[in-house]
Amino acid sequence: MRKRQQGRKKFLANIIFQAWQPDNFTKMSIKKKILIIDDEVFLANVLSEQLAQEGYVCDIAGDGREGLEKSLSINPDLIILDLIMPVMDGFTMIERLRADNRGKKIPVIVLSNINNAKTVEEMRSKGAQEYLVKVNNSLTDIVAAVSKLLK
Amino acid sequence: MEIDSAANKERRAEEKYKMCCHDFRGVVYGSPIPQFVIGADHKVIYWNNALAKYSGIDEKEVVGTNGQWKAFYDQERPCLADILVDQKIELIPEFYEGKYTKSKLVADAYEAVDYFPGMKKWLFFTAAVMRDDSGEIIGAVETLEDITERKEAENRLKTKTEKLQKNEEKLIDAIKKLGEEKAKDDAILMSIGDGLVITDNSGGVLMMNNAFEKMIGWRADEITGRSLTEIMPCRDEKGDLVPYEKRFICRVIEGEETGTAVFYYTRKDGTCFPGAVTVASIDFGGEKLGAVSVIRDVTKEIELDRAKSEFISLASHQLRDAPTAIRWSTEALLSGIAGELGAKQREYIEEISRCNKSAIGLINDLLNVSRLDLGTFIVDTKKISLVEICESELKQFETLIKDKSLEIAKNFSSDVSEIEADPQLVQIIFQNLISNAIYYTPAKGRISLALSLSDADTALFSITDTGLGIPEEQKPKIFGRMFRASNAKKARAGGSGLGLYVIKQITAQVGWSIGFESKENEGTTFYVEIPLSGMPKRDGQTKLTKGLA
Repeated sequence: MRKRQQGRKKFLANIIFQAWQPDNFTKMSIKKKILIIDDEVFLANVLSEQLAQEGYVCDIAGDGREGLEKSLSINPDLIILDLIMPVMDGFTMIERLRADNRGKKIPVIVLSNINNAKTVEEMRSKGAQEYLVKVNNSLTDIVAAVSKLLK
Repeated sequence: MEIDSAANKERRAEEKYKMCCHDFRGVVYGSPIPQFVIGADHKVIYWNNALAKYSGIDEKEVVGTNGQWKAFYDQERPCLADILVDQKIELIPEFYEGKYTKSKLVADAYEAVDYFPGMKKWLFFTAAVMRDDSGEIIGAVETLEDITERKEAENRLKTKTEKLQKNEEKLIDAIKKLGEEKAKDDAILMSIGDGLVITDNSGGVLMMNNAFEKMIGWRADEITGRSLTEIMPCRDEKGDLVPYEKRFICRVIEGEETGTAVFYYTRKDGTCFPGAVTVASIDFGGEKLGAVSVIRDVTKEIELDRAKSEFISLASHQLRDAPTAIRWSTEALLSGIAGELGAKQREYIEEISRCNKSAIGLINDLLNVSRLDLGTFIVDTKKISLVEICESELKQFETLIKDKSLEIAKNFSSDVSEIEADPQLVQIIFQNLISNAIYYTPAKGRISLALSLSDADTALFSITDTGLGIPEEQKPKIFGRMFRASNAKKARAGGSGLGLYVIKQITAQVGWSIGFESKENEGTTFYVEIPLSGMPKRDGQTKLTKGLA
């Protein structure tokens, strides 16, 4: 557990470090902000690192409520949303997000391991632009989906 | 008035006697009824014409003799008149047992009925004694009546009556039996565990069993004769009321085959329950008289099904988390994001990645199998090109094909147009067949893919490899669940043994067909027959998941 936390710190430090690289710093103003909402810290970290590599700025929220707060305050360009989470799940989060004027237009990619048509349908009707099943998609696939939506 | 002298008296008596005799003779002879008279000495006194004609024996032959028996019997024996003349009443039963009675009209007279085989006649005969003034017997008269016709008619009637009686008994027996059978049938119907209700051809309730009464909360006497649609409203899955014309009890009368389906029925108290209903029409003499519905309350099954689906959905979600983490981490490692990898490290991580992919494939296959078995997968059709899907599936194996130096031959006919089908299902079918061909063909082998029209409305896809082939004795099992041929296990460790099962199930459920030809150590060809009509669209709960290449 401790090791994992250490790993996470290191990981975050890495991101900050990268963001502060003079090269990236100049691009910073045009970088798109992505908010990853997932209670699986490890998965969120791997994904955020991959996205950072592709030139996005990432923030992570560990549950739906934190994700909603961050969405409304930092106004990300895109949200990657998990479904099953403690405190507030992804189903509720997207409802609240879409109910708020500030959150109406932020594109949302649902990224979950729930794989059934009903849920896909439900999330799309709640305003998600894309639904990806985690295990069936590589990091590259996800990055492709993100860049497609942010084009 | 002078007093009669004795002589006068005597003369008058004699005259009277003579007159009587004359009259008597006249009566006897003039009668159309055959009769004869014998004296106390049994000798025939009169033998009338009717009798002569009837018996064929002339008066002259018998008068003055005691040959009266000749008219009736073939040997000498007393006639009824003979017995009476002698007043040997006790002899009557001996000669006419069961055939005689004492006359009710004439005192001392007896009647009998007998059959005379010589004449082939039934005769009714009456004999009576004649007495003089002092009461002494002076003779007997016997009259005969031919009752053959009457008797025969009687006999015929009797036989007929007997026959009728027998028939009647049979009928009564049959009715009794029918009654018993009906009681038995009724008892069986009444005690069937499923609800049973019989309606007439306009939907009126005729009869129901106990289970049905319990199920809907109405008593038979409350609803018999009323419309089932009104008493027990029925809703479909969406909650829409099903009108009488759409209900199975009406549709079977129209001659439709309805099968079994689940509807939501309303009880007397307004509560609802899901019922699986099967309806059959009652056909009698080519006419549909009504319908028998059997309804099973499937509340528990539906709950169980839901619990099962939820469990599978949840379990599958959890099952995928770990492989996801492995997949993304290995991918990140291999991309060099965490620093450059040494050759050995790269090799190990690639192995982890490959094993993980096969684990993901297994999980997806298992979930697909459960959906296939439940028949709950969605068929979401759109216009697709079989060639395009095949090409793109093939592309996913590019690296492996290169690594194994496999020769790929493609022969796709341009005659096969686009079809309406679920692209995901077509991908699963092609992917499984292509991956099998690639995995089980040794390096430098050849794989040929072909797509062409086999007739005006069917396309034929085939994939032929020069691989291991399927051992003869294992051929019948290859579409079975979790089956892997013995040589396939040796060649490739990772297969789930579910791929062919999955595609067999898919093809069967969408109306396609799959077959193969194979020779061990020479190769295998799989065929898929694809109707150009594509696949019928189907609603369901989940989509099948395509495996990872």
